[in-house]
Amino acid sequence: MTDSTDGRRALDLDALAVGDRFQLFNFTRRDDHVAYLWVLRAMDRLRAVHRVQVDSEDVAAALRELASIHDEVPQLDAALRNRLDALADDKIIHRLEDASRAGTLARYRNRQSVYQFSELGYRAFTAVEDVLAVRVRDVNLSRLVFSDILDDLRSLATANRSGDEDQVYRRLSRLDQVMEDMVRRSARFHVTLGEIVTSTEASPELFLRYKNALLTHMSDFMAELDRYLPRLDRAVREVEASGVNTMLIRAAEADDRPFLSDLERIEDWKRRWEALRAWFTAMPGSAFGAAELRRATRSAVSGVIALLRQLTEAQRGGVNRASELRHLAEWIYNTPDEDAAYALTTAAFNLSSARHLGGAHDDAEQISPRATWWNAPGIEVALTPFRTGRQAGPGLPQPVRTDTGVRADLRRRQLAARAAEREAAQGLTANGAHGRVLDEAETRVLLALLTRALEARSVVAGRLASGSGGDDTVVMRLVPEPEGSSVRTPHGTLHLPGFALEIVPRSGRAHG
Amino acid sequence: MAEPQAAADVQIGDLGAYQDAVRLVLTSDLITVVHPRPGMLDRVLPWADQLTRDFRELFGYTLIATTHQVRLIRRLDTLNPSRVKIFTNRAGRAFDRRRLAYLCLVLGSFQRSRVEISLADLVRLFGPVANSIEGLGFDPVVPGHKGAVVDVLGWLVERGALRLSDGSAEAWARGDGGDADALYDIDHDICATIFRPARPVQHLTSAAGLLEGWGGSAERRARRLLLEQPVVYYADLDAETAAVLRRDDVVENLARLTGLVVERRAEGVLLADPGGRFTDRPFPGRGGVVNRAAGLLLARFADVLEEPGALGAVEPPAEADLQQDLLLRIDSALPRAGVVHDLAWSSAERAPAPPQRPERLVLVERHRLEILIEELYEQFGAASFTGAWQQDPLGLLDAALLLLTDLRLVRPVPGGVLLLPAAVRYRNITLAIPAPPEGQLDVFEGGSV
Repeated sequence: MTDSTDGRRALDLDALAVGDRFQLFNFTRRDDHVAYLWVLRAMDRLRAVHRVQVDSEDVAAALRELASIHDEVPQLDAALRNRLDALADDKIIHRLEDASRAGTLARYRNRQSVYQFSELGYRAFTAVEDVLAVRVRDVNLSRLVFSDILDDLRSLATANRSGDEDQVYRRLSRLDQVMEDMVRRSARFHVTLGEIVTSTEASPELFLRYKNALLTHMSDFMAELDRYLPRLDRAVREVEASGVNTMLIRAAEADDRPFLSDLERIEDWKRRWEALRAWFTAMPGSAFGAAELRRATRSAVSGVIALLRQLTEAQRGGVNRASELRHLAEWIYNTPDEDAAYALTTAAFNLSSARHLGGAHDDAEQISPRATWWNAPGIEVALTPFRTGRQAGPGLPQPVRTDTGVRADLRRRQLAARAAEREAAQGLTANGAHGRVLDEAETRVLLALLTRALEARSVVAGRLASGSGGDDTVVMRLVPEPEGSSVRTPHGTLHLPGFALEIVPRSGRAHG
Repeated sequence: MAEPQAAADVQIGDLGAYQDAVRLVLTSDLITVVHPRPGMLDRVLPWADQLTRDFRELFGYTLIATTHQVRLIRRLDTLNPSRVKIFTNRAGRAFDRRRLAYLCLVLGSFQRSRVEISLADLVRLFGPVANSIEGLGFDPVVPGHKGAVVDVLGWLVERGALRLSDGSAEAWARGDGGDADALYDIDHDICATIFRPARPVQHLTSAAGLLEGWGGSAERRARRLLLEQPVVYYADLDAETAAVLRRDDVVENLARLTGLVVERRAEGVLLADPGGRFTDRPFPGRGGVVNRAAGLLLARFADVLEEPGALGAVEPPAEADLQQDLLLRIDSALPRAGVVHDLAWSSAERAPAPPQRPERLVLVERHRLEILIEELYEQFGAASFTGAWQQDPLGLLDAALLLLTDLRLVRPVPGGVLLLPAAVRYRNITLAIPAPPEGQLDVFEGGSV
């Protein structure tokens, strides 16, 4: 049944329908989801022997049977009916009135509901069981599938030429299935491989055990892919040469799905054929599926090899690099003095540098190698640095350090500070400086303005005239005021004898 | 044994470029597209094959050269505490033990499968491991811990092992807004090459296992000494190694490889570096105020040596004993619990002793050193030694002596320093010291005609 597992179909469902379907999985989110699972398993067991409609007694009996085999089966006596009703609410099973004949009044009165898997509900249950049953390691790339595909393509071309509708349909649907299978397998393989590669810290042994098989498997697959690709490409073109439209119409005619119109069937087959074609033939400007798979496999091979190198490095002598470095860190930190720490660190990292004395004789041959240093003349040394402490030359050019992160950070902080300041200045203009308690930022702005205003005052005829000071947004004027004024701040009150403050926004040069 | 010819296949016209590549490889801990400076990798890669051959045949070194990185895996002969310059932050400050330990833990927490990591995730990974080490720990609210992580990440970014793609580690360290973070791309290949111990660290029962040991060829050992160290004194060597170094073909071959100038004297041999670039501690000339103070001290030593009998001579301690002491200090910290004892490796070999008792060396006592530095401060003015050292002549003295020790020009002993022979090759620096100011009696003026 390819059509029902076809993921692309689900794209047509609207949100409401998706919500309904999701409700089928509700039992996995309930408090005791394991109990629900066992109930469903019991029902599945009954279904397998064609007991489709069951009551709670039957389910309880099946559960007891299961419990004799598996230890984990929970004890559900009184709660079983509730569980079944809850499952029925989720629409995973139907609840029906027992339609069988009761015969006696007593039995008729005690007549109970019976339960039956709904079609979708059964699928939901099997989907959950599938996920639970998956063993990650049974993945592979289907190497042998290529020859089948090639055969099918060839038969398809022949059938289309001879006008055999049934054969065209059979071959096309087989191809569709095989492709589906291959795509799913390779996707699973790469997903699993990715999981192994990323989680290998936990189990390098497992990986090392299978590394050869894995690499052989992947390289075999690549070789096979390379071998078959040109032939598959040819086969696809051969099919196309026999007439694609005719082929699609023939397939649609042989297709006996009753709920689809002819046109829909043709569209459906067309879509599948295009998908298949896109897998094996190169289109200009876009990579085709098989090439993508080859690329993915190749990068997976190099990933595995890199991992292998890391593991072998780590296992060189049975030492894990992380624990080795931790050991070294402890050793370094415990050394009694810094000299010992440096000696140890440089030796352990194997980092060092050559060191040589500067200055040399121009005429080295003139001095006998048997002379002692004491008897040999001293070398010529530039004396300026020693006399003055300054370099004789400009020195080495230093690299330019560009620290964009820090710079951006400083810029951001400056902008924030400026914005806060501007806001405080606007607050001062709007509400004035007197008659209220200024907040921290306003006080800062006010004091800065005041400093400027006081500095700007000039003495006219032995008296201090008013002054003003401002920044780019506001101007503060000192207005003479015989009674003086005061400004209240969080830290106390600032008295201003002889004048009051007037703060106005700076608006163009006319007022400035 | 015939000396393998260095740079055998290199045309004479290309020799300069080849020597430049050799010097780059030997002075860089790691060469990547961005480290130590952009463009360096392109100067080395064309020579990768010849370099690999030369380093292997002459020294037993392994050169790993790919299109992204070049890394020299050395065979170490001694433990050396003075390669501080490798582990420094951007400001040039040497890493402390916490930072060194964090570096190990951060490197250990990159998993191969991840191509990028955010700082918050990284801390989540490495924090518990750090906390499992007694005393180390990582606590974001303790001052300094976050800064240490930032320094370590900066170190890795500088080498191209990490690449910042978003955010800022500094903002994270400040804790801006509570959600500041940084995202890094990880280059696993570079991370893997940064840490290349000679043997698995967990198999060691002593740090001596990280060294080459004495089983290898004496020729290679001799070449390594000359290649890596500023001066090699015959008095420190065993007879076999010293004999190799006395051979002219060995030394000339290294001069051809590196482009340096051989300076052979009765006491030892060195490869002098006229360009002043083939070193991690440049001297003399570049290097700032410590370099200057060291040079002036050497000049004063040369002056004092002119006075007969001013300085006493003592027998120097053996080089091997200093190594042994360092080794004991390192081994005292070995976390025994982490050692895989089944595979544990330990070296029973001891360095062969030099054949004869070392010659006596001139001792400059501590009090005389302090007087000398005070005099220098008087003569040049304290301000000329920069603000950092202006008030701290003794600190500058220690820094300068450390530099001279690293250059193997002096050797510290209890109560002072021993002057090693090569130090006097810098006696001309004396000319930089001004004559006594006028109005003071000058002995030379007074005594001359």
